[in-house]
Amino acid sequence: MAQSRNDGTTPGEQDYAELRSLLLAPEQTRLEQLREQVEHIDLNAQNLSRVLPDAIALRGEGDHQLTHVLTPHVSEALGTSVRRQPHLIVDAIAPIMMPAIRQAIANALRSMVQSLNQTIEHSLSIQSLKWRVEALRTGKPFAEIVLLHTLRYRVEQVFLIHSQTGLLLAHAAGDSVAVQDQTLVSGMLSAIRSFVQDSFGAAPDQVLNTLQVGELTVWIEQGPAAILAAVIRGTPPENLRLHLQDILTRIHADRSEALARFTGDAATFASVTPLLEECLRAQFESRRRGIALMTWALMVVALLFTAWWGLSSYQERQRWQTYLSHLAAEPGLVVTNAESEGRRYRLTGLRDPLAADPAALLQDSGMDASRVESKWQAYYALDPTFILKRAGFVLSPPQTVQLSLEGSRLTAGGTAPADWIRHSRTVARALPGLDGYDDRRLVSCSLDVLRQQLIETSILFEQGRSNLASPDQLQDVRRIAELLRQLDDMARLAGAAVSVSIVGQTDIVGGPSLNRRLSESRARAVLDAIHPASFQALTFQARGMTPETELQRATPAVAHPQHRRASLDVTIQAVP
Amino acid sequence: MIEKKICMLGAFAVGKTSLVRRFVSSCFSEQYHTTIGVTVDKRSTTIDGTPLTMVLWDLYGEDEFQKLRASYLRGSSGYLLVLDGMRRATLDIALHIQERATDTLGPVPFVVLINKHDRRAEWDITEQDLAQLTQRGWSFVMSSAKTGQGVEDAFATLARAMLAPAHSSPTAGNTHGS
Ligand SMILES: Nc1nc2c(ncn2[C@@H]2O[C@H](COP(=O)(O)OP(=O)(O)OP(=O)(O)O)[C@@H](O)[C@H]2O)c(=O)[nH]1
Ligand SMILES: [Mg+2]
Repeated sequence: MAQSRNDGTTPGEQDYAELRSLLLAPEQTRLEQLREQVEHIDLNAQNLSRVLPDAIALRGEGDHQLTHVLTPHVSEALGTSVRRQPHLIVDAIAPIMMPAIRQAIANALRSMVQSLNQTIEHSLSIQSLKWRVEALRTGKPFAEIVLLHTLRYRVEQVFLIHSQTGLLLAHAAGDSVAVQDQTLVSGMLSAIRSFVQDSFGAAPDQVLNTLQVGELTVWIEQGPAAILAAVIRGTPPENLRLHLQDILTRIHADRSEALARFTGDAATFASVTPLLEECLRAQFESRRRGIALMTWALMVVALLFTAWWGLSSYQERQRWQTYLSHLAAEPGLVVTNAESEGRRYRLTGLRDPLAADPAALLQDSGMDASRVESKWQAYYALDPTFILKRAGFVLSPPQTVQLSLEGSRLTAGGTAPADWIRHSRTVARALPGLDGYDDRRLVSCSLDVLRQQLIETSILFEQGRSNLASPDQLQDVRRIAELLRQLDDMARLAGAAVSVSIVGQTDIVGGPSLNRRLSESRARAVLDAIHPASFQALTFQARGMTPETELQRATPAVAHPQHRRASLDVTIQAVP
Repeated sequence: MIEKKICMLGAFAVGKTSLVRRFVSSCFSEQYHTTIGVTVDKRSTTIDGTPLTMVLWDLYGEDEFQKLRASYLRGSSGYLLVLDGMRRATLDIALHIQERATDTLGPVPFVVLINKHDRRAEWDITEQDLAQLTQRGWSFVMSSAKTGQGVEDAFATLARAMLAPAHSSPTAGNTHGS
């Protein structure tokens, strides 16, 4: 051993190595080959692809290391992919997402529509007045009535019921809610559900999920093993249903095993009560201010209306009184009855046809004519103004006549045609309210006027002639005849004696005797032309007038054509 | 507190409602108001120290128009099968109902009540029929909703069977005759 130590390799060691190679040579070669193989193992993709899925599966089973390692890379790869080719992702997830989105939108819309409906429904504030009345009627405090009515909804009780047995699992009720026997309620609820489904043969998935009893609604949500029934007062929003569904799902998730094994011991579900209590929601109208505002507005409107109405009916009444007093003051109108009923007015009375028109007075008064019903009967008013007015109306005298009333005697003055005077005498006697008619002044006045006119009239002649041939002369004759006819009429009416003398005249040319004859024959020519016999009340006389006696003295010796004429002189005697 | 659903089954007018009234509120009426659908009632008792609430589903009685519906039956932990001693036909109906109930519920305990025992003299069901029932291994109780006879007994028997740890045998416990 010491020898071999000196050589570095002892003969013993060499032997050992030899022995080893002798004994193990084939294995050694094999080992060498294997090592070669292992060291040069070809880790190419092909080999790897064969083992990778198994490798990952193996590793994944063992622990979460693989997930941890891969997560950031996968996330990043996903991010990159989404950025580069978003449509791929969209295509992939659209079928999953769309129904969910649709449902979410539908729910949102539904609850929106519902809240809109509620807003519209309750925004009328007449309701708050009604509540006051109700509070008075029932003797309850107003606040309580408001609470009851403004309660939009309130989940009063929630039952968690075992579907199979209909037994109560858990129950929650709000404060001051009258609770019935919950066991019976849940049993009956299940029974009713079965009854409805059996009786109406609905499909298994179509179950009774709403009950409505007056103010109360029962919403029933169905889960795989349990149902959740919520007793709600008022109008619940649709999203409450989602909330109930959510709670029921959570209960199922948390207590799935207990639900499956339920044998009637509800104590095991005591822990879900807090979840049920989450369902006990309530919502009140948050619109008290709005209501008050509306009420005020309505009240103000009502007040204004009442005030306006009162004022207008007061004014109307005033107008009515004024109208009546105007009617009373108006001659020829007599109101026999005036009454009003609400805002309708009735009037009966007498009216002289000559009186003012009551309709015009009504219009002047400012009254609404459609509210006034008037009945006027005709009558003759006998007060002086009316008698006079009526006389004027009936007699319709010419402008030259003045009518006046002295006591109850009608007096006519001025001048008027005889026809009219005669006519008036008969008519005036028939006028009501008149005691007599006096037209003597009218007649005498008329006689004087006629006399004056006749005196101022003359007919001119040609020199030395006494015949009436020229148109001027004939026209004068006609005029004179007309005046005389009136005079004759008038004289007869007045019973007066009237004498008319026709005086012929000449100028200074010619001798006096000739002129005398000429003047006489001129007077006679006129007398002949007027047919004196036709005037019964007149007496005629024709005479000539010599120029020496009157005219020559008045005028110098100049032959004036106007002196060759005939004129009339009228004398009226004894006017009665 | 354990609650159990129990159905009242049997032909019409055998006295299901009357039995429930007797059991729950200890009263009886000669008047007959047929049950439409279901009436649910309950009574809490203590059975061998275990508090138990029996939720009683009083179903309408079966006749030729209305067959028993499985939906009411479902979830029952046991049932009372009521016969009218005065009408033998109710026995056949009961046999038929029991089959249906077993189909729906499986082997749950039940107790047969032969009702109107207060009018035993007018019974139509014979000793022979009763022997046959015993032969089937059914437990039955002679009952009268009018006098209350057998009522407490029947419910207690059923309750005990329902509370028993394993009630896998198709008939409830032992035959329980009078
Ligand atoms: N004498 C006597 N009459 C009974 C008894 N039980 C029930 N009745 C009478 O039998 C009739 C029917 O009773 P119900 O209890 O209504 O019968 P039901 O089985 O509920 O009938 P349906 O609901 O129609 O299926 C009633 O008039 C009862 O008064 C009893 O034990 N003795
Ligand atoms: Mg009944």
